Amino acid sequence: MNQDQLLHFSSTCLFLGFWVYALALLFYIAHAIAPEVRAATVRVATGSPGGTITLSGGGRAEPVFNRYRLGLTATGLAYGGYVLATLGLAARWDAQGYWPVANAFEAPIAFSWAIVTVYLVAEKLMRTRIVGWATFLFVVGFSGYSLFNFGSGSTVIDPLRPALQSNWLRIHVGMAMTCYSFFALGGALSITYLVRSGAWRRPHTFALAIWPVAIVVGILLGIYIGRWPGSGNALTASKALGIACEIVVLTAVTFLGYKGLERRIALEGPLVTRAEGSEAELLEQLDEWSYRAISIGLPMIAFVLMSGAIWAQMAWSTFWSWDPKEIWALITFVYYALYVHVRVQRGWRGAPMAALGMVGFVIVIISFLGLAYLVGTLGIFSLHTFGNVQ
Amino acid sequence: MVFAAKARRRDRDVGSEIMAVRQQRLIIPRVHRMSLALIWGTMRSMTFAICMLACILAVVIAGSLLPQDKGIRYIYESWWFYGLNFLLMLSVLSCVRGRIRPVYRYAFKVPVVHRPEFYRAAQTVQVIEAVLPPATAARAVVKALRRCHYRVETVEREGITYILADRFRAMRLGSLVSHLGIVLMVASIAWGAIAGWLDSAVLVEAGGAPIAIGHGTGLMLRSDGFNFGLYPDGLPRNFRDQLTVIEANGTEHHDTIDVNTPWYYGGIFGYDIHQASFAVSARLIAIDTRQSPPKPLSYCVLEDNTQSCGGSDPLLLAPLGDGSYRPIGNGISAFYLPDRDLAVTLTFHDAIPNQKQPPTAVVTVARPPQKIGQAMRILKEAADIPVGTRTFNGTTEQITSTPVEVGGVRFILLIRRVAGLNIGHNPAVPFIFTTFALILLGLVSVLYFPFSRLWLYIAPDDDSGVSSTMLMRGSSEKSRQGFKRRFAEIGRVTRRELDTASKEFEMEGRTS
Repeated sequence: MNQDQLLHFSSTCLFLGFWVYALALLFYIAHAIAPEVRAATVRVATGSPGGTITLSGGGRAEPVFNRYRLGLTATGLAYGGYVLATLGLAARWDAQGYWPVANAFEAPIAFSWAIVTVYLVAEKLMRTRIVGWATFLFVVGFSGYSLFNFGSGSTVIDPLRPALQSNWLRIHVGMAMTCYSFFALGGALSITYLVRSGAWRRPHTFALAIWPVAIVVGILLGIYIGRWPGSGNALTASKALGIACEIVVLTAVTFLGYKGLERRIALEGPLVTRAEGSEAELLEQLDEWSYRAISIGLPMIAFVLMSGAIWAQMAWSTFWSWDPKEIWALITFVYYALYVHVRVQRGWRGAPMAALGMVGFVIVIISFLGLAYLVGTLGIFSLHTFGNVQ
Repeated sequence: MVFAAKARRRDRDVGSEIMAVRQQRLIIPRVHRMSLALIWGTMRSMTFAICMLACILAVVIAGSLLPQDKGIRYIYESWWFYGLNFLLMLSVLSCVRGRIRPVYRYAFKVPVVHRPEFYRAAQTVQVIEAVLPPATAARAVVKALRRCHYRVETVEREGITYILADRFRAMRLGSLVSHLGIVLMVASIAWGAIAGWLDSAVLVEAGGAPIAIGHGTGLMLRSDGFNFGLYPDGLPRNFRDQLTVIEANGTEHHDTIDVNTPWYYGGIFGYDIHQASFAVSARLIAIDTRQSPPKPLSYCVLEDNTQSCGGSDPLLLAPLGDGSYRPIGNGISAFYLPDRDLAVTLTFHDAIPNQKQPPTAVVTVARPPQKIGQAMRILKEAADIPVGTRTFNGTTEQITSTPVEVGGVRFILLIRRVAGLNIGHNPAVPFIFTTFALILLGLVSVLYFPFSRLWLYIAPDDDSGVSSTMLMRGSSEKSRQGFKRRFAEIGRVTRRELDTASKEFEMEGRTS
């Protein structure tokens, strides 16, 4: 295949992969909210030894798509989407000759691929699929953001800038994708914990977390939308006023949306039908897995910062230039270091840690994607804007 | 006596920190001593460190969202930001200092012998019974624990065997190593900022004069060739500079650098020369054709609203007055001919291979406004003037192949590329790399190799001494669930080993 054919093949695989991921997300959601039907197995004396008749749900017929089958289908679809995304990325790599992680189209796709890689391994190790819905929310979000925002870039190759022509691109960016994927898994586990434990509806946990989350969402969306009416990159007074108004409105919308959802759930009962018996143990496992995922990612992000510093020293002759991207990577590192400290030193467990894990992933999103918009909108100079995001 | 008792009581109230001050035999008034102890105690608390960290985070978040200029908002170079960092490092250092001994003792100086209540009181505990004398059972247990990769210490006292087993105990020091690494890293960076320097320089491609590196090095730098490749759409692919460093005694050293391959001249403690940027330098030749023979006119160079008149000599670099230079024209150059009252602008466009566009120039000749409010009057605008090459004094130059003539003046554009270099010296670089390794080592050891410990108590069941009971207590700091599973697995392995040992013991009994 020539370069154009490879690019078109890659684009097709990536778009197809996205839709398969979206389908997997639906099945994961169905798996998460489907009631757990326990089969009542009655051993009856039949002619053959060990013959059994299975009755379920008090004699009602078991649905074809029960919880287990929904989960199995979701995992199958996740593998399918993963294979397509892998093919798409591999074809793009072959076509352009360098890792597809260098611009605003490629980076979120590669990130979602890395999240799925980490998640599928974790699903195997954890032997549960209850985190799939939250993970695939991120996956579909990131890949959809890239494919539908920068879709035209799927068949175009951006020339690699001189500073990016280095083996450090693979080491630094590859490690960044991996560590952010572990933080994404940690975030997904935290959200699942909050939803399953019902802690997110208790004012003392989630109400504390919803305000910063609402404000961050408001700021990001406000600034993202605020780009449209403005001209150029300069932050004018009218543009700032527009952004401020949007921030207020969106923060209010996010918060009221949450309150409405909370009220609806309070009226109609819990969102998740709990498994019998082992819920406390499951929650403890979710808590620990979340911590483990984050503690795997922490040394990695330290390495990302260090490899970035070494690379910057080679290419730009300075370790650290207080670039917004560098600062937010540092913030991410410090935040997760604090997370580990409060758990190990202060002994925090459960809902507060889950809330911290969720907020941590919001920071990752700002650091990874949101910053490009902030930099473009506020007219701040940055060396790390993934080329064509503006 | 009374005074001493009061002092002791006060010391207890203030905390043990004051003892550290007293041990240093400082003769400090009492009130000051208490203040010092309070300050020291505050610095040692993790809450203070977390507060400092939160403050710095808030500041850098604000700094990352505000455009940083050289005004009050330029926070990263402000004294108070340095002060916050200094306080944080002091706090981390005092936290680390206070924890060295406890952590070391916790990892390496742990008692093996405990009372039975110690084992029963634990959350993670197993009771294992074996039809074996305690000594034999202990041997089997030690074997099982070693199979599970535990380091084992055994003490036998009054017929009871006490076992202490641990895994990755040295890794417990990882947190100290990483924190110490952070403090050393900041100290190294500060040292590098004080002792090091970083300058930018501009070198004209082949044929340009060497420049002095300065800072008392006595070194000169020359470019012997500057090449850059272009992508088909005209964007730069890479730029590469062949450099020569000339020492004070005239010895020359050569190397080639590109964006990601700097030249570490003099090794890691020497000077590093980085390829930073490239630009276009233009020289104008304005010839008065009315004179016979035609002779070059003198002109002024217009740069950033300033004007420097240098005559008709070749001018490629404009001195900035501080010993450095900048190229004339970063894609566009402006000149003024006072004799004829003409302004000339020149723009150079690189070749775009995939559009098969050769390098071209645009020349605009205009009459400057005579009065306020009057516009500049363009006399001639010549676009897409082909640029060719010619060899001049052995080096290749790019030159506009079609001269532009306006009112008896012939304009010819000479173009040369110039390399922007960063030249620096940072003696702290190797130390900064070492601290990176320390931080990573600490983090990896403490997070990827979780420390766990087991205590075992093996006592005979009765006076006959043929059967024994053992209590196994376990603890792990990080992974509670994972350790529970591991603890259960260790129990299974131990039981298996005890079964095998009891069979062997039985066989031996029969044989004897």
